[in-house]
Amino acid sequence: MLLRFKKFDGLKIRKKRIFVPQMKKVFEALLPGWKGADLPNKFPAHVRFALRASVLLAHVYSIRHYGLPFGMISYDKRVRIIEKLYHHPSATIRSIVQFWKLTALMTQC
Amino acid sequence: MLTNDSSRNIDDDADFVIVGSGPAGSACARWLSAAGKSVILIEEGAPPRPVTGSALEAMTKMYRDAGAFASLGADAMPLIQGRCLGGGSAINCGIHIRFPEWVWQEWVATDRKWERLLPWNDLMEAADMIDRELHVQETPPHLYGENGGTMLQAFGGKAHPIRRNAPGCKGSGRCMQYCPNDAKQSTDRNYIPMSIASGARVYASCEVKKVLIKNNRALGVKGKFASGAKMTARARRAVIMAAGAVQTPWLLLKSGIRLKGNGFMCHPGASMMGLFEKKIAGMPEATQSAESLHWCRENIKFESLGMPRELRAARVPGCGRLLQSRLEKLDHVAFWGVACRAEARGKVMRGPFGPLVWYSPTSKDRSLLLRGLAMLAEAMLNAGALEVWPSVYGTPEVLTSVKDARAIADIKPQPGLFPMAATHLFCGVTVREKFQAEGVDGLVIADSSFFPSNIGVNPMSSIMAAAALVAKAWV
Repeated sequence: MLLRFKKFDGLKIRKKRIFVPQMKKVFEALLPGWKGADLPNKFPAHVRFALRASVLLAHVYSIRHYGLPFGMISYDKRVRIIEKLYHHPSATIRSIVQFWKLTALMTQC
Repeated sequence: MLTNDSSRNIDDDADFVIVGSGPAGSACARWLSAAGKSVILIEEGAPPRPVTGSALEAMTKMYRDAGAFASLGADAMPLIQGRCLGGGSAINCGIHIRFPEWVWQEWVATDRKWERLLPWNDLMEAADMIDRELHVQETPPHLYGENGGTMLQAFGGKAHPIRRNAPGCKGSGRCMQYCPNDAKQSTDRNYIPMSIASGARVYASCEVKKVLIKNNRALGVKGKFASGAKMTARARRAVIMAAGAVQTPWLLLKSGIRLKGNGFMCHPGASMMGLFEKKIAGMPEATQSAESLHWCRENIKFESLGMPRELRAARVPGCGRLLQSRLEKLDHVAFWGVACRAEARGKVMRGPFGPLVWYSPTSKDRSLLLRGLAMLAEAMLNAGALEVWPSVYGTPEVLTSVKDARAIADIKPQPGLFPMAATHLFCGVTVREKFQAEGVDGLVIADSSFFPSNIGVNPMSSIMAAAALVAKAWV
């Protein structure tokens, strides 16, 4: 429930996952033209949580380099951020990007 | 009788309760039931069905945690495990390689009990029978495909076609999504129906939660069907654990058993891609058709890889526009892999969401893989690759010369240099006479959880042959 909030959308009140749109932006930067769906429900909950939460990494870098969250910078800047993370000296960060990449390719419609 | 997901509670008993229907569990069930013993076989997953859609669909239906189960450690890597009737045999590439004699000699030199538990001649006799029953044969030339064919050509006499259990293979390249042509002889197509014909009761979609133990004796198991109904299976003679090298030790830990020798092992693997002028992708092609065991004694093995397109794409190095441009050439890319017989030992632990595997390859293991990647890159360039794409951190994005390829082997083997994955899992749990776990009578370990070391080759044949000897010990 921590990751969900209710959004008033016209006459409907729908649940929206906070990190999902951001994750989609990461995937679009990683794989230009990515058109995918949400993560499959069969992924264990902790994996889905970890994936969504890992998007914070992109935000941290975005704020550090451009002073704005990842979702508020231009597409080109997003691509640059992802490339920086992909070639990052830290093996952990590179692994996270590798996991994003695998998920992006597998959820590609 | 096969019961897939019961809506009512079940209480059943038999001579043997087998947990897990993969190569080990189904081989045990096949021989025990053929000997007239009553057998209950319990599988967490559902019976597999061929998947026509994406790899993700197959993975969500037949793989543990949809293929997202990964080890923790310096080099976190996916540990691929099946979760369906037939277990790993339903989603692997059907590769059968005999148990290497030199590994057996190593085991015997470390502990003489292996001579008694797994006599070499009996092991080979069982392997012969399995080969016959599963129709194991060498991949025929028309199924090599360009990927495997190029590898055979590149390695010359040091590579050979893979022996597989897919006699009627049509080369759809979909072994990992469950063979759509009924060709691959996964155990749900032979040993499980044979067991059922001999009277075994098979319960699918039933997760075993606990092994029941009283006065140091295994009495049965408690489980739960996907529908929520409860399952209690009582064993008159033994509970046979064959749930795989992660789930078996985890279930035992969960049941309060203190494991001796819990040392998780695997064959970490990495891959290399080479761009060729000719088209590499094309049907018919066996998922994996060529391998080289020439360097097996040096703990390296090479294979041509034929993963589903999206998984292959994930291995293409680069991101953003570079990745996009490379994906456009994917049909011209050869994809070969190297796996090493790693010396690292990890641990299976209880975690908040299920089992946790702590495992980090050693520097020596990483060096072995780097050497293997260098050899693959060199072989690709010698076979006419226009360029090679090493996904090794610190190397150029593109390699075009043999000198650059060889330089990969000299990179300092730090953690996280390249993506790895592991499919062959072992766990070194100590067993005593009749393969029983230490301290608990009637609790038998029949899968690669009891292998005291990794074996350096694809283990399905060895696991099944060893499971046949486990069954023989209890007949």
